[in-house]
Amino acid sequence: MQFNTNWLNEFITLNISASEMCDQLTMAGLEVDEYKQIKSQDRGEDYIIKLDLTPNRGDCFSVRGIARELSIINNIKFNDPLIENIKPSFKPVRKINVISEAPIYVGRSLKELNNTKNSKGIIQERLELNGVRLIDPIVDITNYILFETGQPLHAFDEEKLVGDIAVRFARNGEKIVLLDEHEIALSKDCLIIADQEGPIALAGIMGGLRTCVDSTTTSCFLESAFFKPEFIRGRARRYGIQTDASMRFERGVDFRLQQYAIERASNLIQMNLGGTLGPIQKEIKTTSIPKVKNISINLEEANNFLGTNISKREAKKSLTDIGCKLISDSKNFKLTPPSWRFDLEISADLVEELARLKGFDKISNQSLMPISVHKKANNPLKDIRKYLVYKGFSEVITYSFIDPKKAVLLEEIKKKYVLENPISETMSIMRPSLLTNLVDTFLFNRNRGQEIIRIFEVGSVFNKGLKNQLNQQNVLGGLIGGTLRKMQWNQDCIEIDFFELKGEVENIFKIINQELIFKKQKIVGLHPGKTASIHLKSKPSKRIGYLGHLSPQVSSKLNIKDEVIFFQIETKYFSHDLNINYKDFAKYPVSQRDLSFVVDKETESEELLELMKDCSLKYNIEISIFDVYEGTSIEAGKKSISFALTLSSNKGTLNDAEVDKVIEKIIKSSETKTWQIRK
Amino acid sequence: MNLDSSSISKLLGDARSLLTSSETLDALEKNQKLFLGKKGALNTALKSLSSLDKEDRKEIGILLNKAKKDIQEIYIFNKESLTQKILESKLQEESLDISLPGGYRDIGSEHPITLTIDRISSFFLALGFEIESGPEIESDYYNFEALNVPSDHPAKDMHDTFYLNDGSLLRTHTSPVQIRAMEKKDPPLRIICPGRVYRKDSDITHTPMFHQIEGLVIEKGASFAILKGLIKDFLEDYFGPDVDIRFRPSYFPFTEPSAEVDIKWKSGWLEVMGCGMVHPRVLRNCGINPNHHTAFAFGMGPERMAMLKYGIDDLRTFFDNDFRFLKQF
Repeated sequence: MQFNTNWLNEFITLNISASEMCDQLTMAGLEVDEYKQIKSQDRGEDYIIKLDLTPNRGDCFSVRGIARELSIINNIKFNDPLIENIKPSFKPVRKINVISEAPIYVGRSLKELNNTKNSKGIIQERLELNGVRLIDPIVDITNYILFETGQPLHAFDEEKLVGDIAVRFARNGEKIVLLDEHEIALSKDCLIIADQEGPIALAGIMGGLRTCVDSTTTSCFLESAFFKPEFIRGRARRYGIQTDASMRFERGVDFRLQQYAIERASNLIQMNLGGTLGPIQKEIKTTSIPKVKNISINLEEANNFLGTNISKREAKKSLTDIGCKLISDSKNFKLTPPSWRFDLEISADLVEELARLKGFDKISNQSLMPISVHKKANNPLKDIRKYLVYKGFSEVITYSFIDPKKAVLLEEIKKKYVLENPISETMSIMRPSLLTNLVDTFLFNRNRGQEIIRIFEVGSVFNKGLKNQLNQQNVLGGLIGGTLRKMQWNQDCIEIDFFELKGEVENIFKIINQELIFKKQKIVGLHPGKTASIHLKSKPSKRIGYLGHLSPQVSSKLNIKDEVIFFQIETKYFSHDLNINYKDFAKYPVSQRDLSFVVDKETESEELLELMKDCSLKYNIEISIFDVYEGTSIEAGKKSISFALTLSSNKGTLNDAEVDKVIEKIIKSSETKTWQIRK
Repeated sequence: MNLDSSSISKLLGDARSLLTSSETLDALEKNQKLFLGKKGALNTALKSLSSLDKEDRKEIGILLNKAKKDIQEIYIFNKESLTQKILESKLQEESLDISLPGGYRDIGSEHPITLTIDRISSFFLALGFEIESGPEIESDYYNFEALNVPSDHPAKDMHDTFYLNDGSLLRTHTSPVQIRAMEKKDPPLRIICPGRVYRKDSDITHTPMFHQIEGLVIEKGASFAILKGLIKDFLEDYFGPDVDIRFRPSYFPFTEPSAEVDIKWKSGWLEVMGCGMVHPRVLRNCGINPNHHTAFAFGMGPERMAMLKYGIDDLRTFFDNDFRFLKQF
C-alpha cells in the first residue's frame, strides 16, 4: 500500500512531519517500508509513504483508512469529503439480480459522458504519483475511488451490456476474456457478473473485455459491490491475477461503504466528464450481510493477560476511538466492532487493540523466572560435534533438496519425494541420504584448491519407511577426501583410507560408551568391497549406519580423482550409556608374544581375533595387529596377518610355561581352519 | 724433579697453565695424569720423599700435598667449565628455527549457524526451557490450519510454500513443532524449537532453506509484559546490555497481540524477532483451554542473528560451505 501524504488532507488536517507520521504508523502496526519527498502540483510539500500492510488490516488498504488511523492516534477529527446529492434524471436502465455470496450490489447508470478528455487533474496526478497507470477518465476515477476509499468499483460500457445483469456462480464450461485480454475457463466456485450473453466480469477480481469502457464510451454502468471475502479468496491466485480489487476483497471491504463510494465516484465523474445520472440501484440480501456481533471483554482478565493496568476509562476511550459501539459497560464491556474491522471478532482481538493503542513500549517489561526442570542427560550430539571438530572436521549445512541427476548415481531411491514447485530442477527431490550433498561440498572445496577435506553435517534425510510411509530420519554424515595430512617440511603426505574413518566412527561411539560391529555390505554409490554397515554391539541385528569408499565408477563420472570415504549414522542411536561397570585390572607384569598367520585373502581378521580371545579366557589379553601382508613371499590368494599379544593375569605374574600353553592352544585351534602359522 | 719449594711451585705453575689451556676433555685428562696420575709428577715426588732428611721430609711433604690438592682443584674446575662449554656449544648447534610450522593436523570448525543456535539455546535452557524438534515434511494441518491460517487466507501469502508430490509440504516455519508439543505434553511448558524451514524464495536476501528458532511458554500468569521482559533479557544477553529495543504491533495468525521486535542497528531499526501471545484458537486446536492457561511464543532467524554477530553480509555464504568461510568459526 502506497499513498502521498497530501491525499490525506481530503479527510484530516494533521500538522506533523513526514518522519513523525511514519513513526506513528509503524508503531501502530502499519509498518512503513520507506518514504520519500516528492514534487506535486497539489499543495507544496508532499511525501510518498510505502506501507507493508499485514493481512489483518484490510481497513487501512486506502487513503481514507490510513487517515482514520492517524486521526485516532493524534486524537483529531476525521471528516469525509462533502458529496453533492445529485437528483437522477432518468429511470434505471436494467435490473440487477444478486445472491447471498454478494449480499450488497450498488449500481448506477451514467449517460452523455465525454470520456475522450485527457485533462490531467489532481486525480490523474495522485494516481501517477502512486504508480497507477492512467487509462481513460472513467477508469481513472474508479481507480481513484478504490485507492481513496478501499472500495473497488467497476465501470461497464452501458451500450455493450445485453439485458439485465446478475451476480452468480459460473456455470460449467463458461469462459471469459478478461481486461488483460487473457481468456480463462471459469470453475463453478467462481463468482461472476453476467449479462444475458454470459460472463462480463470475474467478481471482485477483474472485468471482462467485451463490456469494458474506452475513450468512445458515452454511457456507463458503475458497480460498487460487497463480495464476501471467502468467495474471492484463492480465485485470483488460482488464475495468477492478483489485482488491487481482489487484494481488498480478500481482506474484507467495509460493507457500509458501497453507496458512499458510488456517490463520490459519480460526483467526480460528473464534475470531470459532465453527463446525467440514473438513480442508485441497491440490491441487498439483508440476511447475508456480515453480522456485527457483540463482543464481551473482561478488563481485569485483559489486564492480567497483558500485564497492564489499563483503567476502565482508558479502555472505553480506546475502543470507541477505533469505531466500536459500547453496548454495556458493567464488569464486562460489551461492544460491537466497526464494519471496516474484519479482524475484530472475539475478545482477544479487542485485548490486542487495547495493547496496540496503549503502545507496546508503554507496557512494562517483567522477567520470566527460571524454573528447575528434570533435565534429560546431556545431548551427546554436542560432544560428538566437538569431537569431530577437534579431529579436523568442518561442519557444513547443505540444502535438503538435491539434483535428481546426481541422486541417480549416489542414492538408493526407493521412493522419490519430489517438490511440485522447486526453485530449480537441480533442487527438486528430497535427499535420501547426505552423500550427494557431501560429495558436492567436497567437489566445491576441492576445486578451490583445498587438499584436506573432512566435513560433516547433521540433518534430516527422507526415505520410504517399512509401512510405505514417509520416514524422516535425523542423521550425522561425514566425508573425508583428499589427503589426511599435507606434505610439510618435516612430514610426508598421508593418503586417507577406510580405516582412518572407521577409527573416527568407533571413537564417536566411545564418547557415548558404546561399541560397534562392522559388517561388509553393498550400498548404492559406494565401493562394494570397501563398504560396511555399522551396528551397535549391544544390538547387532539393527543397522544404524554405514561407511565406505565412493565407488570408482561414480568417482570417474563426477571427475573425482581422490579417494572419498563417507559415513552416515542415525542420530537417534547416539544415546549415552551412562552405566559404567568397573572391572578389576591386572596389576602384575605382562607377557608379550607375536604371532603371524597365513590365511585366505577373504578371511577377516576379526575371526582370528575371536579365536585367540577364546583360547585365553583365563587371562587378560590385548591383541593388536601390527602387519598385514600380501605379496611375493606369500602364496597367491593368501595374506599374512601379524598379531602382538599382551597377556596378563589378575592373580600373579605369568610364567613362560603358562604363556606357552596359551600360544599352543591358539596354534592347535587354528589347525582346524585353513590357517597356517607363519614361522 | 728437585724436591725443593721452588721446584714445587714451578710444578704447580706448569700444571695450572697446562690444565687451563686444555681445550678438550681428552686433553685435560691426559694432562692431569702428568701430575695427578699414579706415575704422575706428584706421586713420583711423594715416593721419593723418603730420600730426604726428617725435617725436610716434613716440610716438603706438606708442600707437595698442598700442591696436589691445588692441582686437583684446578683440574676439577677446568673439567667442569670445559664440560659446561661443550654442552653449551652442543645446545647452540641443536637450536631450532622455531618459526617453522608445527607438524599438526588442523582442527575443523562448527558451522556458524550451529554456534548461533547453541548460543541462543543456552540462554533459554538456563531458564528451564527444553529443546523440541519435529518433522520437516509437514501436513497442511500442522503448518497452517492448526496455527489459525485457513486455506486461501491472505496470511498464507506471507509464506511461499514448497509442496511435495503427495500433497504434503515443507514446513515454512518451526511453529508446527509447537503444535505437536502442545498435543503431546501437558502445560506448564517451556520449549524452544530450532530447525530448518523452507520457503520458495531465492535471491540475495533469501535462500530457499533457512533456520528458525522458536520458543513457547504455557503457564499460569504468562503475560505480554513477561514476554516483553523475556525478549529484552534475551536480546541484552545476545547483543550486549546497551542494545536499544522496540516492540511494534504486527500480525501473525497464531498470536494476538503480535509484535515485531526491532533493535537499533547503525542508523535505523532492524527487525530481529517476532513474538506474541498465543491465539486462543491455536490453544483450543491443541486441546488447551485458553481460560485456564495463557501462552506466549517468539521466534527468530539464526541466520540473521549470526550475520549481525559476525558481520556477514551475504546470507547465501552460509550454504556455500566454502572452507575459507567455514574455517573462520
